[in-house]
Amino acid sequence: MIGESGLARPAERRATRVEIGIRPGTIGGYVILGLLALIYLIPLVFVLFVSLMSSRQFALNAAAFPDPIMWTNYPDAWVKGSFNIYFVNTLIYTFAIVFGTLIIATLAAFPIARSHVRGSNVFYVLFLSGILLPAGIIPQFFIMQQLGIYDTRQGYILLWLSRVALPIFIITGFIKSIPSELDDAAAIDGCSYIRYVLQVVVPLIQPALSVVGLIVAIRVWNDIIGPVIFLPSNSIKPISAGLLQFFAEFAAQWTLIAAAIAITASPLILLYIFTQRYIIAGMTSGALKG
Amino acid sequence: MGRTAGIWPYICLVPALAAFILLEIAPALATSIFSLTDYTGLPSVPIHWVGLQNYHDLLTGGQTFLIRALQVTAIFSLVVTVVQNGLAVLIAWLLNARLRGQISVRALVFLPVVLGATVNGLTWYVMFNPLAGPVTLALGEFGIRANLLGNAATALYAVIWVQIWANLGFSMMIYLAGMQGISAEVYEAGKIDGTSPWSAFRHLTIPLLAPSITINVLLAIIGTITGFELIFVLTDGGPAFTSQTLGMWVFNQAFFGGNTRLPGFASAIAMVQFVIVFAIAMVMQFYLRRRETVL
Repeated sequence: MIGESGLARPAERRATRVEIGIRPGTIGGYVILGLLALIYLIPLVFVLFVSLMSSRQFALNAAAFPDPIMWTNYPDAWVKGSFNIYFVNTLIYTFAIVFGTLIIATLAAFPIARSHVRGSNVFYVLFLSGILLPAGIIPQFFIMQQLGIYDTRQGYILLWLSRVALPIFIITGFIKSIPSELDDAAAIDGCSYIRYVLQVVVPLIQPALSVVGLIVAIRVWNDIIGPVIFLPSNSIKPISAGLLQFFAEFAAQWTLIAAAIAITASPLILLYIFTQRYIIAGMTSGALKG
Repeated sequence: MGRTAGIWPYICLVPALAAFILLEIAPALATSIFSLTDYTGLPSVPIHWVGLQNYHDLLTGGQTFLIRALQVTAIFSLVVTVVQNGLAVLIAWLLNARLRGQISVRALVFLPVVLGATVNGLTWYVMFNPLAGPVTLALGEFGIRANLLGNAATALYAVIWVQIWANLGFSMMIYLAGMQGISAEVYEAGKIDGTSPWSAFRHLTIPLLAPSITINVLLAIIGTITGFELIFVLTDGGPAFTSQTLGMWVFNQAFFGGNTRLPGFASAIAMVQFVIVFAIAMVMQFYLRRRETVL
């Protein structure tokens, strides 16, 4: 399944990229692509410029190259917005949720993929239904309050661990695509089964785990509704919610807001530059199952 | 097979299953139960059954709210779905034609999908800002003085623009994958028949792309009816509720109404939303799948 989603076969498949012959008009094509690139570049470049402008220049002549260049906007925004706290929180959430998700999803996906449990198909469909079901935010709020994990780090991490549907879907598909001779656990008994999954299966499914890890990390980094509902305390907010908080507090200081946007976006942009292919394969895999 | 591993494979399922049932499946199903209560969200206030009262309120007391939210949702969903998919197919078609630089354009258009709602929303907030936003300045050149996000007549359309900007890359990638799955021989045959590029697109690419269209259209409809991250960041449903979709309304009514916040009532709105999504998904499945099988 994952093969069809473009993980095994990279996004640009050579075989079908042979000269197709029937092409849209080339000049018109370039004009449209150019316009498209501008529509996507202008907002990003504008925010970058504003983040380096003096607030005086922003008021008088914003649509220009920053002059003088105000590097100080970045430390200013960082300190005023307590971004160090948000940054650390986001790193904690991202690591805990990515590793937690990979472990519990792999543990569940392996017996399902290899039919080591009765009714493995029922479990598979049950998890699959999670991709389509709407999130019940109101009951989630109630349950977390009852369990005493509302507005706590553990609660937010647990909330994210419940979103295992897509990870299990991707990992199960990947395990099914590798021959079972490589990981025949049929004869294994006792708790060594778990050790077997973690020590033998995990290395075999590394590509799927990287993809799942990347998309979960990006989603956690970008989550805004979750923290706004479940993490009202500033001291445990992640960076996306911190950015929104900063925006509310410094409403008129556009240069600092732009710097804060750039601070939040830059790790994602770096990650995207280096792992683009996996990110795209992972993020579209739910839709491309066929 | 595997029977000898005994109970352990089942134990492996437990952590994922427990988290999934506790905070995903149970809450999704329990929304219907909460819609029959006067739940306030305050732990100290007891919860009572109120039967269909919330639905009654929704259809009588909250009627104007309901109709307005339905209208806003319909416009948001329809415009985004049609424009986003139309543009995505055309752009995928252009990119698939292997023009120079198409890899960079593709990566650039997909970037907002990675950047997420807060960064995308605030970026456009800066672009739209009435003081010195480029959009504001550009409109000013034409003598239009506008605070697009702050104006009841334009806010929804400004949000629609950003929503499409942010999600175009996702639809585009799915169409591209679909187009790369169409074998070159189909086009070769068309070429022999002397088909023009446009008619090849119209009569070969589009019909063969039907499965991608189905999934993209469905995802766009569901996403616009239930998702509200960008609306939340850009307008929070305002001004004067003109950009408040059903999803945005559920969220505001449940958690941010001050004294009027009523998660029980909000659950009833969520149920209306669910029924609409479910009905559309069923009809779409039937209609679009049928078109696929005809081919």
